[in-house]
Amino acid sequence: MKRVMLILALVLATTVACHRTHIIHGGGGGMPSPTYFDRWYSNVVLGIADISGPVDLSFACNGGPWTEIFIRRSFINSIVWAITVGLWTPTLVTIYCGGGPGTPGGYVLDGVVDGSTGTFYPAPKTAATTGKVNAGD
Amino acid sequence: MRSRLARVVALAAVLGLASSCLNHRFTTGAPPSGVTIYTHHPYFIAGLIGEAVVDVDRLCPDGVASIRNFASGIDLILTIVTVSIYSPRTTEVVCAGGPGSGPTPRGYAVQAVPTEDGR
Repeated sequence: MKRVMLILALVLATTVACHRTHIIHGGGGGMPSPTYFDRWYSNVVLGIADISGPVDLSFACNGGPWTEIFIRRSFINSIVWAITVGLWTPTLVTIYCGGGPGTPGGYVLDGVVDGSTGTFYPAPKTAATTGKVNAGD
Repeated sequence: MRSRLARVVALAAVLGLASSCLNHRFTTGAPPSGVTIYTHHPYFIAGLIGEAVVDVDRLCPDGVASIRNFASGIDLILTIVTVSIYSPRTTEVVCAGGPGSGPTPRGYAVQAVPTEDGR
């Protein structure tokens, strides 16, 4: 009975847990990437082989700056691991882009609203469509 | 007795390996400078306790070329020996070098366009 409880505890601890990791750049913050929000990142054969990477951060943020990578394992990921007995060990990865308020990476920015007057200033077409970063500003 | 010990060791090995969340790789497209920095993060009870925060700007002020989050050989040994009670992880950050590989500025540049009333 004790042995069963021990094994059960180990299995539960292993399946529900994950090594939550935040990798921060540029102070963090920003908005989730539209292409890499809670996306499954797959490793196979007990995590020995990585079949999802490497992830291009610039592509994930549509050419804009990235601010954070958040890695974790969800409950569903754990169930997949348990069913496949570790042959497929997926995790969740979210990449955050932008950094400043109202500057979500990967999204087209429509313009800016002046808070005091409520006037909407549409963004120039070039910046809105390319998301180009101006190093001087 | 020996077979029971072998079973426990095998179980520990499988659980340790399976709980690894091994290998996450990311790249920025910047050229690598040749400087690689490793940071180690402690986790407990198969990763249930512990949360790592890695600020790459502190490690590589001139920018980052690639990032890898993984369990090193020592991490795996420690995980297996302690039956996942202590399961550390390692983050490898390759710094960027060369022109144009500096830290990415935050935010997008948006130039305000005057409306019809001239503001």
